[in-house]
Amino acid sequence: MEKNNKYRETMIYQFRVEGLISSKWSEWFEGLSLSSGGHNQTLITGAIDDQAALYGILRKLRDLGIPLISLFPVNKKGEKL
Amino acid sequence: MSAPILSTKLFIPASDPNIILRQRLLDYLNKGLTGKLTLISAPAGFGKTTVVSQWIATCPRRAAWISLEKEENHTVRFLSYLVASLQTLNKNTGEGILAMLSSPQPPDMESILTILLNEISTFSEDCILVLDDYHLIDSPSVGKVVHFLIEHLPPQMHLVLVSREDPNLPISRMRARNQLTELRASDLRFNTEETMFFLNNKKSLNLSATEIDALESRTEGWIAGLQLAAISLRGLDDRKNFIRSFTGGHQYILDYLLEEVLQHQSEEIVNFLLHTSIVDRLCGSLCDALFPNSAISGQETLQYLQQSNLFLISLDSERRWFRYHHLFGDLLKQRLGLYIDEKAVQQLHLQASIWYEENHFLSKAIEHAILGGNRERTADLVELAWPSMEGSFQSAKWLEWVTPLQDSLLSSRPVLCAAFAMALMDVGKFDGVDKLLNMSEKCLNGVEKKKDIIVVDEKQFDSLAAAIANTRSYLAQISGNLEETRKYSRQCIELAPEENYQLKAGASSLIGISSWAIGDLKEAHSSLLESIDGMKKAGNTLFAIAMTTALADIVFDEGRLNEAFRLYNKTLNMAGKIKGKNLWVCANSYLGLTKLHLEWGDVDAAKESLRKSRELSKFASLENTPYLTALAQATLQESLDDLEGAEKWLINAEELYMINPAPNVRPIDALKTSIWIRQGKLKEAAAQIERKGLSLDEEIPFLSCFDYIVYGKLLLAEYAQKPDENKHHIIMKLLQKLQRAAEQGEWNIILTEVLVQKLIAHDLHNDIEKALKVFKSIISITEPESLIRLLVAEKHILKKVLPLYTQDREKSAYLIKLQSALDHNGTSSRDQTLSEPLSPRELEILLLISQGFSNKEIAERLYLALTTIKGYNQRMFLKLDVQRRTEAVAKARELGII
Repeated sequence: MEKNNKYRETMIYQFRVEGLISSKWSEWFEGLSLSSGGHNQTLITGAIDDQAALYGILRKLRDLGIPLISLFPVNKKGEKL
Repeated sequence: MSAPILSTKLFIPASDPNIILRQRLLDYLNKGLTGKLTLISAPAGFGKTTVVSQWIATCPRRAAWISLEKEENHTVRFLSYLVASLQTLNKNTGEGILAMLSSPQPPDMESILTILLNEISTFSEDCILVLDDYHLIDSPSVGKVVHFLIEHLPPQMHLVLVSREDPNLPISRMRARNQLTELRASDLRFNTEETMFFLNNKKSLNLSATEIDALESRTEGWIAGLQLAAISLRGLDDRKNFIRSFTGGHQYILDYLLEEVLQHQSEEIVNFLLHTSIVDRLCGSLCDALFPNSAISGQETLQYLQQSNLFLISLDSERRWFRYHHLFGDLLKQRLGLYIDEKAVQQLHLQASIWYEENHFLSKAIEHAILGGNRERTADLVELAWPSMEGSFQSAKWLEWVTPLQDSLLSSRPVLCAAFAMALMDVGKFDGVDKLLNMSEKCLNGVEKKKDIIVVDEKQFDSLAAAIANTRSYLAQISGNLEETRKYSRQCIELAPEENYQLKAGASSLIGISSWAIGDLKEAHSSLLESIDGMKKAGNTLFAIAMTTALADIVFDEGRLNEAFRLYNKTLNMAGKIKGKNLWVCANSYLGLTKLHLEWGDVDAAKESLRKSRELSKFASLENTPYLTALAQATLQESLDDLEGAEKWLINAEELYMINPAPNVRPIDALKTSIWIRQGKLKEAAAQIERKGLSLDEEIPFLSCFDYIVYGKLLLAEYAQKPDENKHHIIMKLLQKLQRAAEQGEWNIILTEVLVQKLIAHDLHNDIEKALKVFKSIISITEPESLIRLLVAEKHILKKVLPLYTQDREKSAYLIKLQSALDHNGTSSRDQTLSEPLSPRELEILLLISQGFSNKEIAERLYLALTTIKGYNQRMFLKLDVQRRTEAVAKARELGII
């Protein structure tokens, strides 16, 4: 089905979490990309369709016991908006 | 029909002897039993379930347990599990509730919960109810149920919620009021002492204090982490190395540890773990289906895993069913995708689907067919699943599975198409229904090649043509096309197989109700009788009761009050036989009885029936009961000449009105207008009637009769104020039309009202001869059924005509009753010597006594209970100031009453 993106466009979010998570977990996180976030932290970044999808990712973090440090929308270059 | 209750979800997890006993936590939980609620809120892997099961094993209180899953986000299902879990403590708890939940119109949630809570408050022992994995509940309605439970918890019960996140309940409020006991991550983490005890004593690892310290700080006391680390350490020679690299890095703990653990298992075991990770619950034979080429059997592997503490949890006491610890299962699922390609994973899901189908877990079979990407198999299975999922709340779930299937799949599956159409109707989505029915019919009519048609469920196929007709009938009813409704329902009955009682009975009931709405009371009558008979054969007593009540209402419209009385009493009988004695379904029957007693002029009996009805519907009622109750009360008030009260109750009824398939023979606005006319508010009445746009030139349909009768009342009132020959003509024209329609349809109640108006019209026009003639016709209708109220409502004209009519006639019991009713309403009475005149019913009984009938015979004749007759006798004796029946007869004769 065609997406009605008239009101809100798909946003790019960046989750910062504690611990180093290998990129093998990318598919588990719906194809979001994983990269190093500096000392003992991982960045999980990617396009998220809507709020429901956002909460889905938060749930997966919760279920795996991965502590969430921060969550921001970013632009295509990865800079905080 | 509802999904079965899985006993594995009610099973209290066994307290694992390998886990350390944390006395400080158990003491804390025990102290909390003085409050209402205990909340255990921490992420996965903190040993929440373990602590609670240990606590229950050592606590003197008995406990009930529910391991929640996302399916419990449905209130009906949640309540079913709630009742089932309480039944493990007390066998008979909530029996009536389960019956209520499966009825076509269940009462509201609060009523059901109140009943359940009342039952719990009768428990002789204190108990605990544990809801595990509560974070899976995100439905607001289930949240409301739990909230209600907490607010009204009886002192015997203590509630425990185990969750990965704080639930959406007033936690901080309860905290402030000291009603809550909490265990959070910081409480559940192992401290240094516990870590040492766990690793060295329980796991016999003999680690140094520094090593234990390192492990503790790396895992931060996270139990899941420590458990995995312990498993790895156990098999290792070079522990120092492991500990150094583990504590030195920052990798996601579980990922790292799981890798270590898996590396040290045999390839067989690793593959077993991965292959079986796709299902929630494991048993030996399912594992064999998923991992067939193993050297050891599934059952043996499971036992090995449990003994080795590899995160396998027992789900019953027979060691048949297991599941992986949630975290472990998630980790395995993630790895599966890395080790095995997508096609192979889909194949695994298909294997699972086949096993589930063979072992009668249809829902799971369908879920895995979908995950396995096999659309044909999905279509086959959902066709089989339909019969047990019909009905609104399961239909929604069924539709989730079916909606993604393409037309190309559907067009060759007639049974599936028709089921799809029916499911859409169940959830109120009427678009697309016709298209699906047509697709289905194409297969039946040979438009599709016979060899291309796929039918999986032969039984449904046998009834297919009838089911399609039935669905079309409901569609017609929704769009208000009564003739089409009848046509398709008749088709359905013709085409249905002999033994499909439910389908035929449903169609008969539709014919009955739509015939009633058109005023074809004979057809309505016979169709409903067929429907009741069929429903009984199908074992659907609740529906049979509903249809019997409808039949009684119709029979009332036909003017056959005695028969209506018999039928309402029959429903009481039928309800008494249902398991769980859900007498609340009879609230409407008592309202019908109230209506009858009022028509018979027996106000006391009417009040009693109304009281009984209210009592029954206190906790639970059908959707339209509040509306009907207000209506009955309004009629009662009107009988007592309390017009203001009657109007108030009608306004109340208006607010409670719900649209119902049963036709609305006396609309509220017309009833209100009729009251205004009696109060002399002619202008308001005229304005209201004007809005209806009634025309005298068209045929009067059954459902509009009452509107026209009220119009007639207005015209008569206006004529009485200002006689006008023109108006008289209009009145007579209207009444003639109504009379003709009522005589043709044999709508005797309407006919009586019309004739009474005619009577008044003749009287106002000074045509006494004509008036008497009409009165004679009225009596011929009202006498056999003892109709009193319709006549007594027009006191003025009755006082004029009755003496004229009776002056050269033998006074029958009925006429005496009529006279008494007239007198009973406070006007001058013939019997001056009685301080309180006998009511019509009492008079009737007295007459029968004087004719020599025994109390028992009288009870049978009048369809009343013997105790009721005795009650009437007592009241009668008081009024007559006598002690015995013989004295009563003598005294009454003396006073000229009889």
